[in-house]
Amino acid sequence: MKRFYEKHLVPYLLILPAMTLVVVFGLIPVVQNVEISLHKWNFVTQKTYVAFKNYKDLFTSYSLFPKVIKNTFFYALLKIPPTIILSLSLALLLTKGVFGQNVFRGLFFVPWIVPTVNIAFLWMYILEPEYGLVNFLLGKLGILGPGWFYSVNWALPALGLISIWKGIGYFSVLYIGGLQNIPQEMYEVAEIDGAGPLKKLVYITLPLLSSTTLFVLVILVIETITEFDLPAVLTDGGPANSTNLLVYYIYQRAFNAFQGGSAAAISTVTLVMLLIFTISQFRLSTKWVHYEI
Amino acid sequence: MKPKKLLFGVLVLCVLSFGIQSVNAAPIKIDLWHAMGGIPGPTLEKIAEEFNASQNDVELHVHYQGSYYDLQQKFMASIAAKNPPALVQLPIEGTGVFGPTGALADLSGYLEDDPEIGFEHFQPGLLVDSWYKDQFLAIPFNRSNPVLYYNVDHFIEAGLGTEAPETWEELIEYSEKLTIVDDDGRIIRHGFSPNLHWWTLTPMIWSNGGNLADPETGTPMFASAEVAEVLNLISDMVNVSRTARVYAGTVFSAGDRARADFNQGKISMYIQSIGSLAGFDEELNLKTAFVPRFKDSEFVVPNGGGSLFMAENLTKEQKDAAWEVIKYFVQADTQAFWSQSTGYMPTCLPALDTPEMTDFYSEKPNYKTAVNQLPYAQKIPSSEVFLDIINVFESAVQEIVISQVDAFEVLEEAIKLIN
Amino acid sequence: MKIYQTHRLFQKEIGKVFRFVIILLFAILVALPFFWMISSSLKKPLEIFEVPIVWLPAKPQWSNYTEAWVQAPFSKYMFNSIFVSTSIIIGQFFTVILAAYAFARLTFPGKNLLFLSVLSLMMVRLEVRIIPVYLMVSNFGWIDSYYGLIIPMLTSPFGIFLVRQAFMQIPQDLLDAVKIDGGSHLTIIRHVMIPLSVPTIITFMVFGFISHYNSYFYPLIVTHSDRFRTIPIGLSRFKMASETGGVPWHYLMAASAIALIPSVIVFLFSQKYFVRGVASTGIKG
Repeated sequence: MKRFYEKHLVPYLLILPAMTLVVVFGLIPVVQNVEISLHKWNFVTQKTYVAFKNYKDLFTSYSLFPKVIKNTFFYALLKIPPTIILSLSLALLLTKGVFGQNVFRGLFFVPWIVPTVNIAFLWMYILEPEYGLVNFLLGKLGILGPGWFYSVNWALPALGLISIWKGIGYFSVLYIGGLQNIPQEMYEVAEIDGAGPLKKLVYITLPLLSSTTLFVLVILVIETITEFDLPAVLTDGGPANSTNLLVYYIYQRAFNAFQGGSAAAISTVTLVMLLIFTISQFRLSTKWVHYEI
Repeated sequence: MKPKKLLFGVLVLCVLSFGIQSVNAAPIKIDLWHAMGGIPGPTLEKIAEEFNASQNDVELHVHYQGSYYDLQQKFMASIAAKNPPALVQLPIEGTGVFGPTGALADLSGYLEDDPEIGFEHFQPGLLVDSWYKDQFLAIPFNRSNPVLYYNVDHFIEAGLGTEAPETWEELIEYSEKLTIVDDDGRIIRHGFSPNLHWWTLTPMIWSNGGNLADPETGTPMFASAEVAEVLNLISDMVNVSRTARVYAGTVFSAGDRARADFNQGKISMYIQSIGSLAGFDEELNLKTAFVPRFKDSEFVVPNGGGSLFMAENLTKEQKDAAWEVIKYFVQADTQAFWSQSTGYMPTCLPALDTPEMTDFYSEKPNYKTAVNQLPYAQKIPSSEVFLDIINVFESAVQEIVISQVDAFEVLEEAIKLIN
Repeated sequence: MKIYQTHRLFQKEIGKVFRFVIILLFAILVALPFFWMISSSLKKPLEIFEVPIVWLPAKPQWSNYTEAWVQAPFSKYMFNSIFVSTSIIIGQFFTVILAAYAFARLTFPGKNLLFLSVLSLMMVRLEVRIIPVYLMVSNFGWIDSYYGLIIPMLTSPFGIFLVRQAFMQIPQDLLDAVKIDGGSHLTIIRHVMIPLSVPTIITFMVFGFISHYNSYFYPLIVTHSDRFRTIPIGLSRFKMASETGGVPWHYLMAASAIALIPSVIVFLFSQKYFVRGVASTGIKG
């Protein structure tokens, strides 16, 4: 009897607390979300079954959804490549034995641990067109600073800028971890073969960092797709919807337009996008990621 | 200590610490959600404190929820959660937006039966936005209409006298004279700032014969030549003659931004609620006036501000308690205090007749503009989809004015987004 | 030969200086906004709007801090933030370690499927489940309560993933030794697994604390009174508190500066484990 208990019951008892929470607040909502998305519902009156109308409306009839997708994609382009390049460069600099490098690592990490709301307000002040720090400094250089959050063209880049600033310290620490795993001998062998710094970077460092890059990329994409805090605090999705991003749009459809079904449909599409992206990245990664370290 | 016991202990502690919350239930607790920041916020809290000190049966708790937008989102979410607060201070569009949910109580019974406060207690023009079908939902509390704020010193300096422009045609002319350009070609003062908010744009739109939505059915109708004309006019002032300055698309809403600029003398005229009249710099020589009209039409402004609404899903005791709160908030003394502290109109007739109020008005005539303008105030075309309408409309306005594109096409595309 | 060597050495030194300068530039870019925050938090309102800008206030206005703090019930927000985040990580400590142990060390039918479902939630973030989660929390009657803020967060899929990795690396011999002495699974967890995985566990808990302390989206949606609002929600109310003419930046910056103190303290105390832990595990809250 004790053996039976040990073998068949204990594992389930151990995972029970975690699994209950995962199921109740994780998996059931995913199913419910799909169910809600098949209805027209304002959260208050009875739901009306409309099959896939909410989904069709997103793509066929007039909807902000295409614009929101475009914004989100543009935001990803503005944010992801610079973050990767800058954090990798920083990591390379910080592993070469520079004076005070541990202090620097700590400092670069700080923006990451500070609440996004703080960061948002801080940058809203810094990017204030008239009396903000950035436009003042640009003015010193003879450049007329843009309107940032007040400009249709500059609001989204401003969000990207903040987000890059917040993230590089964290991602460079990830890269430092990756760099430390590269065996020193590989560089020594390459040096004997007469390889210069650039060659070493291209033929050793980057390939051997590719699993870190994959990880960084996946995190960045999930983060970009689920961005809410910055548009919610800084721009309310404006001006003229230029910073309306996916999750903010879900929030707007749900709690401003009271279109529960439509909001749930967008959630479901977002969720599918996340899954497809993550799974395909891990699949594709067999082609470009080197795991042999 | 065994881990099991430890775990159990922690659980018990958690349960206990959550459990100690409500013990005695003598006074009835009433929650009131509001959207009053700035100066009105603490003023409202003070009224609530005084109400609590004045009696022992009802305990009022006020909760600030952010802007009217934030508040309405929260309120809708609370209805969905079947847990709305007993009282909520919704803006003028609240009747149309939340009436159809059935979550708001019909207050006409109270107004008919209460010996102290009935329909005739209020300024008559303020009650039109209270009705949803045959239900009376909204008790006017902080009511306003938009007025033109202008800097008299700037006017005198530009040789324009001390009186405000009466028509939009005049305002455009004045704007040109008030705008100052420095030697480098930089504009250091703009004559005007149109507040790119649906409510402050509405007088201009109405005066030109347009509307955001059909007042009867709530169907959006802002994609019209009349609305487009108004927005093109504003866009020209901003982008072509460069006599008007706009800020759009931030949470520090256009109105707040314009207010700061006005306070610092960077703009000479702007349109805003009478409810933000208090708190400007002492030395600022400001006056308020009617919002201009187009030459060939009448003055017209939308009703504005907020009212108190009661939740339907309450016990009789709770409703009676909530009614006591409402009565306190709209009695003559409270309204006189509220009005003098914030700028909002007194909503009740008795307050208007008090000697303090007449003295106050003769000393500070700026505060009376909204009351004088009230005969020209009209009901706004709110409905279930109104929040979506104004959201889409304001985004379109931002696009038109900031990106300098033709208004009509943008409006036509935008109106299709509402469903 | 000697000249060549000195030349090499010289090049190396130049490289070092060059790298240091670039890093210093980066550091200025990172630190400048924080410097600006502190400097502005000590300014008079007029200095805020001055052009050209004022780098340091003529006379530091320390009273801005005390005044900002009472603009809203910040002490209450701060308590809520710390209480909620601490409760969450304490709860997560138990749920995560028990589940991680089972997934790492025991075999049982359905294990892979169950583990996969846990992992999937790392991608299917709360943001895209929010409508049903909100309705569920309100069905439980937990809107605007500590229950609503804490209970749905009491486990962490990433924590399970991470701690499981650490648990898997512990040699089986150590477990067997405890078993021979008649020790239960809980004994193994307590005396073997936890002591040998301290850096990972600390990393995951510190990260948990920081990410819940910083969280804006979820608390924004499930709270509606000051009794339960957290710091980020409290800060965001400055958004509308500007009707007296312009944004009260000096207060906003002062309140922001205070708000980031707990994160920074937690970070400083755990930096040794934390930065190393992140480097080796790539944790994500």
